[in-house]
Amino acid sequence: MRWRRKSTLVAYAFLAPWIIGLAVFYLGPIGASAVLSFTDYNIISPAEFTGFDNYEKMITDGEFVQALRVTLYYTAFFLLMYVVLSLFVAMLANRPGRGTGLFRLIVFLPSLIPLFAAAVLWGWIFNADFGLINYILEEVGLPRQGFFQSPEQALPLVGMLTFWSIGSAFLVYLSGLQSIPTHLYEAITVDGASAVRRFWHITLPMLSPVILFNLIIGIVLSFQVFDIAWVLTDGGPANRTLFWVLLIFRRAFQDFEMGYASALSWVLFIVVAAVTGLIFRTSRWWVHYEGRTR
Amino acid sequence: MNNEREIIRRARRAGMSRREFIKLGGTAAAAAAFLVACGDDTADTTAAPATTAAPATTAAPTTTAAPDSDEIGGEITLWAWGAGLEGEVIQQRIDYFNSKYPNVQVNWEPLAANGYEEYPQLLARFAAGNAPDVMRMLNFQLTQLTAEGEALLDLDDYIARDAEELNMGDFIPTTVEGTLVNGKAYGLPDNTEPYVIYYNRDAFDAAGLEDPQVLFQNGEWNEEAFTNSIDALVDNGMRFGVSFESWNYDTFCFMGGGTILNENLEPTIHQGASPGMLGYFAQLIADGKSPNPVVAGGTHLEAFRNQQTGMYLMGPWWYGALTGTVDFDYDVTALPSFNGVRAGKLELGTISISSQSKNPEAAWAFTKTITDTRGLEIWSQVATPTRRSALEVAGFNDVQWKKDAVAMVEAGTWTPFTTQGFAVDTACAAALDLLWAGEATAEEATQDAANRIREALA
Repeated sequence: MRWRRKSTLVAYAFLAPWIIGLAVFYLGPIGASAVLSFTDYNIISPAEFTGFDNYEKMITDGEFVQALRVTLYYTAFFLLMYVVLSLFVAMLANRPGRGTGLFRLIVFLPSLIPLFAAAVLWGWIFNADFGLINYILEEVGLPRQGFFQSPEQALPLVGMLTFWSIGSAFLVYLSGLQSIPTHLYEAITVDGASAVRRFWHITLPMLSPVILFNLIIGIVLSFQVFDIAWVLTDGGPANRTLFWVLLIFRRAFQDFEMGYASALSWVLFIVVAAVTGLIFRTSRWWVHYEGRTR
Repeated sequence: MNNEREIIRRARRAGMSRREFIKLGGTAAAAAAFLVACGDDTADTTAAPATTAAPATTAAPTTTAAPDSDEIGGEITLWAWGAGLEGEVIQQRIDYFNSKYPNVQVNWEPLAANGYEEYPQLLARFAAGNAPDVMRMLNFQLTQLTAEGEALLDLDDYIARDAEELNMGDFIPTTVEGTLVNGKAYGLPDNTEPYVIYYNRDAFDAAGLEDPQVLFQNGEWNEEAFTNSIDALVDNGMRFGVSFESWNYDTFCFMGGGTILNENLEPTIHQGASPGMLGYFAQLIADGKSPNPVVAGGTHLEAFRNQQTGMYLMGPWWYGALTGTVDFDYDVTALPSFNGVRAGKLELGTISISSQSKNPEAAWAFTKTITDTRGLEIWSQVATPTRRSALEVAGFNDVQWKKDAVAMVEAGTWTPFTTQGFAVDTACAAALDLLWAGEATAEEATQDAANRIREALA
């Protein structure tokens, strides 16, 4: 008994640096930001308690409404790429044949490049005045485009950049596809099922836990997007790429409205938690776990 | 009325990478939040330790006359950015100070970027009660630190005490105005950078154009000459005639005698000359004579470097950086006059003292010494000094481009600074982006900008 107690203490001693780090650098600031969200605080002056003012302010803050709109648009775009497109790419890569390995490599490779760096590259390629794409368009007689300088094209183009990050979802799908027992396909094929029915009745149900995983990750990633907009557009043109987190950044580190920025952060957290919770809640009806329902 | 000033924006687009900025910002936030978490748990003191007022002992000089230099001792910390030659020059200024005050140890904490990127870090240090003694500041920082927290030492009494030695009248008046908040001085002017025109002299020669410096000296560097130059450069094969950054929108307004805000901090960007001036630059983009300015920092500098554009509107700080990196002859001159007005935007750097300083007398000695004529003469190797005597000693009036730049200092103007951070800039950027994209007229865009400014400052 004494030995067990001693070993427990030793374990805690080894864990202590991490626990202290967690408390000081994560839980502390998280708790502080919750408190700050009810204050007017600019770092220099002492915080003043303002109740729910910061939360009420969001309703009338035009930039917040714009950031919400942009983030939801991007989330829809991102999920389409990250959850749907990557599934079909994974299914293509799952087919045996020559060049499959190379294909998998090509799809996965871009995800090894930090999105931050990819964004810089895209910024130059799609630069309206000096970029490669407009040069090519001009050479073939097509009109030049505004790309990231165009209020209409900037956001879809930022969304397209997410194509670079589907590699991780693709990899998870691929491993999921390869773990589906082949006898299931054999059985349904013997019954005369078409490719669509095989996909609908075998692939999708068997892959549903993986889809759930990618969906959750995709939602979290898309709501948190910051770096690519910061690098590519800084929220412009005309706030058309003003993402939620970019707005938080502006309020916190440009306007030094730490209280309001904290409130924005907490609402973001609540929204992501709510959406994620809703998906988990509904997953019992569409996610199939072998051997049990959840 | 305050004479607070517009933001030094060159730092925003140069220097430290954004990733590093983000990291710094995160660190500052974590530090600040941690301090909050460690503080008193009552609602109105959940923030940082109070930093709103300087201790009584540091608010004013303790002596009626300046102490002898050998009576001042101890240590001070200096918050200043400066890499390469700039860093060497800062060290030379410290050495100069120590030649006069040998008993003061100056601990310089060199910043990796430009003072803008590290600003959240500075705020966190104020919050922690651990601010540096002396700071090299961008002018908007001086205003914000003072207006929102009185974090800086009011220097009026020190200036009055040492008036004879300081010779404040030697400073270019506009630069002194930039140190005032509510009529009180919270810093001494350190350097001032006017916006100027870089031009590719070889391209001008090839297009048969008169040298802009000569035109300026003859009083002919105006809207007509500027427009003619752009047209001729493009006609002669240059991809663009001129390029500029979107965040210089205020420079365009000032160039024609326009304004952004009035002294009551009400928007005026939609009135007077501003819409016309912004419309002029928007038309250049629409005509394909200037690239869209809404791009990442450095793009247009590269365009100038690669001879994609014949002129580039920016501050003079790139002059030296271009040396040896381009294979054409280039130079710098003043901004052209528009509507009979020669004006432009100024950036201002100040040296300020923290109200938390435990050694204010040494901090003040350092501040006044590095901004005296000799201190600024040393500084002139990398910056435009703020004393007329330093301009003469350093030979600014002997070099044509520097002479032209100094003319822009004398003609420079500002936008009254607000305590709302970048609210005015972000409001204007959101509205004017549509102008640059050709999706709004200058009147529509400036009216939108005015509305957004009102909303932001409400």
